[in-house]
Amino acid sequence: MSRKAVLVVALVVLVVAVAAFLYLGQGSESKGGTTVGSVLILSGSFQSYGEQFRDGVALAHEELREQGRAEDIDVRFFDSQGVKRKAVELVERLRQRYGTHYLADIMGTGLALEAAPTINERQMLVVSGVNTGPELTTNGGPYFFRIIPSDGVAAVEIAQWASDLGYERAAVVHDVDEWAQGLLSELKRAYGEQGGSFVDELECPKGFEVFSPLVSRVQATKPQVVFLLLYPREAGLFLKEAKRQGFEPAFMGTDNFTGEEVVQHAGDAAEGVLFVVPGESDEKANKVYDRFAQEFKRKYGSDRKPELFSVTGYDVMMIIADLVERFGEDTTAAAEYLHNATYQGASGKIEFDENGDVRVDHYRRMQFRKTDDEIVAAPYPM
Amino acid sequence: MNDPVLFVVGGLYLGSLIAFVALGYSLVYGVLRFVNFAHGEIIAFSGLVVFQVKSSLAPNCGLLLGILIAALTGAVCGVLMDRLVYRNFRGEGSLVLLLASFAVSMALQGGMSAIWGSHSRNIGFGDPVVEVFGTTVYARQLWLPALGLIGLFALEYLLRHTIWGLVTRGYSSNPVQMSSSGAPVGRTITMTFALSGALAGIASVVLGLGTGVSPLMGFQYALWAFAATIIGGLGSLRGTIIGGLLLGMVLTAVARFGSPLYMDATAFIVMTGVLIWRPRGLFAFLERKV
Repeated sequence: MSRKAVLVVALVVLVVAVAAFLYLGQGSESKGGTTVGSVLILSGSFQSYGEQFRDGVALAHEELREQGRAEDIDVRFFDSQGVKRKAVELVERLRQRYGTHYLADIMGTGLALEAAPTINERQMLVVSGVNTGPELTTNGGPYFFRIIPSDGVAAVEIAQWASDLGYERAAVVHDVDEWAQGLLSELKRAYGEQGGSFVDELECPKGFEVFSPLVSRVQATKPQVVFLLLYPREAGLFLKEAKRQGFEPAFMGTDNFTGEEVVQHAGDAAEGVLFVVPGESDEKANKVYDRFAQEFKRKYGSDRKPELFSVTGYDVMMIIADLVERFGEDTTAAAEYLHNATYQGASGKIEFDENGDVRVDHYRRMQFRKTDDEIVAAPYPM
Repeated sequence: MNDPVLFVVGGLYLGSLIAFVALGYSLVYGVLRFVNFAHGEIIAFSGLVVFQVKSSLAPNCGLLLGILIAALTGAVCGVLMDRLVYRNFRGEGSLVLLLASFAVSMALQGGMSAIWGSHSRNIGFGDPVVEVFGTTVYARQLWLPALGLIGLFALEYLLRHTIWGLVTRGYSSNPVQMSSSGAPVGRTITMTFALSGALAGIASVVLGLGTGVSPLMGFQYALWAFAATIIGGLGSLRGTIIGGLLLGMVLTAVARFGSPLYMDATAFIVMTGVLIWRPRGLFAFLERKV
């Protein structure tokens, strides 16, 4: 056989093997028990967020099994690749093939909105730990719940904070996806209500590389505060470049600044940056979080700190397991129950309002501060 | 803050980076008449290898050693790409090679994501700054353009004064005759892929210093470099360098005075305009063709 023929055969074998692996990875049809589906983005530029959430869900599932609970619950993760149509197809497939009634997220606000008619028509209950788009409050439907606050709430918090600090001239640098657009529109409204005005508004898409001209442009408008509605990498790189150019207004963000990636890219330039995160800090919440963090490090390695979406993934799975135990396939009863339920999760106290949004009693104001050898997020001194 | 200095230095730096990547394209195109779309993945792979070395094997490794490791990794990666894939399709035409390079690109991207995840990471070297006319700029913004020029002159020297250069030019003009002449064509092509990969490797460290390393890090620059190569003149080394610098300045102006969202569109509109107006590139008349 010629060398070329060998190569072609090898390629065909490889393709068949990959296809078989992917098919088998999605498992056979449900054989009793409950299949919880999780439609995430596990490839492309949002892969890391999907992986964080998946790891949290998997950890909770493992913990439940060790406790002798959720033994008949099977969790299946699917990659929507960030494609709306594919997300809807996966939801349909989960229902038809596995009889799924519960979904641990449909990652991506746009994707969840696209799938909302399907999940509501088929009474599939979704608990989301990732989607923050404000439109989901009204368009998610009665079977859509989320434990991460809407950007509408976060926008009001940072607008209020900027106003408290006396900042009246702001610039905003934002991503162009649905998350950032939703947050931007809420921020404009909230900051305007506080009497603030925007002197510049600049797009900076995920994966952007050239920050020098962007910072120069924003600096030329002389804002007192710059809102960074960016993903962690881009926010970190913008801060690094701003420091290099000697541009030192106040920088503000939301929970997009949690995790290590901002500091990893910004280095010392992250010092002083202000951001808000949802949650409370009572002792009980800390105990759940502490146990989660301990188990997380045991499972994924001590050098990895738990990211926000791993925390929410963990809580989402715990809530769904509780609902399955209480109501089985009766998601209508489960949805009704959720409106009055209280959970104590690793992310804090979880209660839902009439729209399925998590009730947010408290937002923490945080600031990156420099300690002896590192930049850490610490509560803002009141 | 000195906006004009920042603008010029930033534009030249971006242009140099694009030119560095584009030189790799041009070299391979000059010999084999196909655009290696997996060039961006050589950048990403080299950067990630350096990150791995720096973070777990040799934390004290300096920037110069990092660049050498990246160049070596890029060279090996380029050679392996040719030996394992492209060589099997030689003689099948440019289109087959182009499709093969897409396949290699996707396979490598998937493999890197599986190994390292898709996070962007800090490469781990310091990113020192210097003062120029009262403005703080990154040191890399000064030494990269100089390195680009040195690279260009070195390549021109090699093309003019070495057997590799002679065979490369001969193969580029008439591959059939050159192959049957007994000239070391195989070794020459291997050397071309090694050089192209080494350039990508060097670019990976510079990129990593600026914006971190990830499996997707080479994609954006590979696109811009492709446009720069067409603008400057495919296969023309000097044209490629000038095309890269020109595109860098244009893109910096678009980001500064327009919107970052229009950068890709601008690059490809300029490229399309050049293809219509001067299909061989704006600066193809400047010799050193590969």
